[in-house]
Amino acid sequence: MHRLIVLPTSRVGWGLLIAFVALVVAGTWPVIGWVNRATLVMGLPLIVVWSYLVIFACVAVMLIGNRIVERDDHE
Amino acid sequence: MNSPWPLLITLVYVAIAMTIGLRARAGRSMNSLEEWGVAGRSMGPVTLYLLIAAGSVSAYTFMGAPGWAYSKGVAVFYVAIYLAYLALVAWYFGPKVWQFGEQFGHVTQASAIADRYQSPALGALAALVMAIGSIAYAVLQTIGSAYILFVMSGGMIPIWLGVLLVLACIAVYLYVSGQRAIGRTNAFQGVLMLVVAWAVGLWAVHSATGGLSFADVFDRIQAEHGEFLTLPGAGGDMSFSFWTTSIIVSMFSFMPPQQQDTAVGSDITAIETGDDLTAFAAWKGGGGRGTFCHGG
Repeated sequence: MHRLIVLPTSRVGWGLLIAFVALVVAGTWPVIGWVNRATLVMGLPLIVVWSYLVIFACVAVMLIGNRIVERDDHE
Repeated sequence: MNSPWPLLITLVYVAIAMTIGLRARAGRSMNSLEEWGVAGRSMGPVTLYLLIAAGSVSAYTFMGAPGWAYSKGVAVFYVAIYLAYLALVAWYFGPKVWQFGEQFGHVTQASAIADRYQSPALGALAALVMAIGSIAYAVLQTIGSAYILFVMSGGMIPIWLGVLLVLACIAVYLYVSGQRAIGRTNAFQGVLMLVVAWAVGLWAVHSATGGLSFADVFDRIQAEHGEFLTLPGAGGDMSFSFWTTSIIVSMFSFMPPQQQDTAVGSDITAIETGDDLTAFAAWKGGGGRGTFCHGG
């Protein structure tokens, strides 16, 4: 059977999908508009700090994903 | 030209890259397409990381993006965001593409697509689209490299000659060592770029403020030109719609031919390890090219 969209079949899969969507939302409009202010945080522009947060969050999601895959492989 | 040193340094760099590229073959036979095209699918995680990092740090990164940041401000950070998203997409698809390529012996993106969707026509269309897209990217990188040669030589090497030189260098070591030359020269380029980027950044900050803290730079920008710290940027043309659409379009551009080959050519253990996340974090859409095409 051909399906246009393949959805996750496990709770973990859904969690990762939601994390992915949340990350994309975090880095685009309208969320990016909320941090679009000419203020400095730790010496850096707010939008730059937010960008770094999004980047590190992406890394975290991938790390967690890898751990889950490794765990599933062991089981 | 005031000093011969810039040209000399550039030519030494070219000579080192050529040597690395030519020696990358290391006695292997390049008669096999798999060996020539995807380096026998054997790149390790460090080489892969540096290759992708150098692939991502292009003429655009060294000349276009700093110029944009200088003229428009933090709006250019959309690039950093889409690179992170690109990494996520590539992290998900990369291992699958590698396994698929390894299982069925694909060495190009077009053959993988044709096989996956059982459609030679779709594969041909993919090849056509990627060829046209790659030409645009290759021209961008080559012109960028030629421009650097033009500046470094004080105008002695005109752009047209620079283009020919750059293409000739790439053609020679690519013919001799195939994808291994790309891997090794990009690794060299990656290390060099990371070092140079940090050194130039810190030097610029020190020149402007007398210290090494970026906070002083931004304090001054905030006081004198606050428009550089927000969208739509100092030029007023980097709107929310530009930011959002650029990110969404770019985050799915993770499989141009070169990086498809990288995924196909890398060691699967490298792709599957956590270490490789960083490598994929450096991924961005870009076409096939050699070291000099990265902006040199």
